[in-house]
Amino acid sequence: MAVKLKVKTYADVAVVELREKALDASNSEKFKNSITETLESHKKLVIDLSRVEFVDSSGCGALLSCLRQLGDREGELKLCGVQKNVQRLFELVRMNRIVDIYPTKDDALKGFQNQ
Amino acid sequence: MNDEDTIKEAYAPDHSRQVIIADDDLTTLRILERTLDKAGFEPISVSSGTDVLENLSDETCAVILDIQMPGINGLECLDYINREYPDLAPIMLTASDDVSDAVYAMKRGAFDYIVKPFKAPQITALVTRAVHSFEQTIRLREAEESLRQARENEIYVASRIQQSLLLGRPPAGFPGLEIAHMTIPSQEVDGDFYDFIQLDSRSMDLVVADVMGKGIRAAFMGAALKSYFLRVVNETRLSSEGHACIAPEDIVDSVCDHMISELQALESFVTLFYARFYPKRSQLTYVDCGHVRPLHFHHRSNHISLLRGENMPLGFPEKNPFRQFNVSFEAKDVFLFYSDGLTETKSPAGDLYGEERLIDFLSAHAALSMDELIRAVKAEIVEFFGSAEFADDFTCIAVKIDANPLPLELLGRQELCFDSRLDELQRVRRFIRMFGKKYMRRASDEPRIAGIELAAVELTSNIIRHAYDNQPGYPIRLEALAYPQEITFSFYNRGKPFDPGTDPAPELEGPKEGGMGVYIIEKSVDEITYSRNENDENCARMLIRWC
Repeated sequence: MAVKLKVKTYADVAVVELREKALDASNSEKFKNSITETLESHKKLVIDLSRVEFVDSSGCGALLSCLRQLGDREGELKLCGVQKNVQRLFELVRMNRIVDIYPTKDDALKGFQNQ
Repeated sequence: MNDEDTIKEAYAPDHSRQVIIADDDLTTLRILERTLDKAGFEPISVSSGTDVLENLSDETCAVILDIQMPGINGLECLDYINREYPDLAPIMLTASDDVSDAVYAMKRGAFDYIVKPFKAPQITALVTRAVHSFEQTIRLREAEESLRQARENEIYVASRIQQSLLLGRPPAGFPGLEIAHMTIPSQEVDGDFYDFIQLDSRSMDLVVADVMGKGIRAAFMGAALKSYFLRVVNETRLSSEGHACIAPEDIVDSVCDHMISELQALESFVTLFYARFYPKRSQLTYVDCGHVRPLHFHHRSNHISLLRGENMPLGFPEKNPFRQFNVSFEAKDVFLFYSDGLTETKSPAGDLYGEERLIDFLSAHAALSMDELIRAVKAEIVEFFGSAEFADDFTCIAVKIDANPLPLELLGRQELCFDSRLDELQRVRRFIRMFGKKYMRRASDEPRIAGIELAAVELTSNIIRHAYDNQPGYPIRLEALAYPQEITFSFYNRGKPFDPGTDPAPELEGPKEGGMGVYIIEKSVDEITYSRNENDENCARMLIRWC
């Protein structure tokens, strides 16, 4: 069973909405596979987590792997729609210090525009 | 102004400086007497060695001895003076033909010698120097004496500090534990200290520490350390609702933050062991910072394990986050905490007592009452050392787990059995959330429940990955228990035992997933224990206090 992703492009920015309730050990590998194509065709990426209620360390690992791949090509990753419990985890593992997190998709897009 | 006046003025002598002059030649004697009298001394003239001995007293500041005298001669007087008045160094008078005697006298402790005939200023100058030297010797001796007294006093003060400030007493009759403790004070005082802290009714904390160095400095450092412990603990008492919500590792961390600059400024360091006993839960949580390893005697299997930690002593420059560990215990288990003075005791032949001997000793004596055990340890060390006067202090604290600890009242129990597949994670989460919500109902509990959920997912994926090598089809049993103040979730599996001890906290730059999982678990629940039970199941138990 693949991970459900919805990808929309705004100019040169790809916004990936993860349509899953969780990003954890059970689906993080699938997530990595599913997002590869988008990662390779874009330098600017927003991952919209507004539907995701739960992330674990594997999920963090998958997001960090996206960050690294984009970083290798001088691209950039932004996150948006992070729910409270997920935000807490990001703070615990200090993810919030290495990835820009925006409240909404539009804020993230603006973040790219302003650069 | 002549020489004599110069010396007189510079010296400003009073008449209390008694100088004995001994010569059988009366003319010489008169000249000496007049010269010294003029110079402000108080001469006592005698004409034989016997008279010298008779006139010597504590008032005598200098002696002039003619070498050739009838009866007891000058050299014999010199020997007597050396023996009886070691601070006095006589000036020898000699005729020009027996300089060899004068040299001999110098070797035997004479101050100087004068060859007859002499000139008055020469005599005055020499006697003045001799008196000076004598007085200096006296002052030096007095200084040494007061220094010695000060040192004795320091030892006294330091041992008072140690006895009254550093060594604590266990809470009277703590249920579930039998405790005995002792310190054998040594000639010098160490910075050994221990204390018992009771933060709530369910746990008892014991801290054993050893400050490097001796004497007042070490004792004060120990006192400061102890007061920081009490401060941290008291701040906790005020901020929580009567439960020991501050973990031992956080207590030690906080104390270290307070002490580090002082310790480094004094180039001192502290080894310590912080232990928290939970008798009802049969668990010990500890933080070790380079202390000698306490012994844990397991009654059922009759073997001894060592409580090891991995933290450096306080005051060492590299500071990593302190880590605590958990061990389970059973009825009649014995824990022995001690300071290095015990294992570093040397026999007359120079052998160290050592950890091995202590292990053997405890194995043989673990059935004793704790008071008896402590006394037996003392007797053993005294016999090994060959004396009861030790060079190092040593401290020893023995704790036995009572046979029947009172069980906690169980409020609820639920179990979930699931397969070693990652797609079971969702079920695990749902189970945890449901059970947690039943007892933790306040809105403010939500983040904690989310944290437990997260920890449970991490723990489950670790079991599937490491214990079962990602192989599906193996059972994992999750047991949830609720007590009045805490909830535990125990994960049982029959795979490979898991050792979390090697996983570091994640680095900012690219965390590794495995280490991050363990880190997340530790940060999300109050305690996590890994053990193996009697059915040969691995058990990972998360504990949450709902205070």
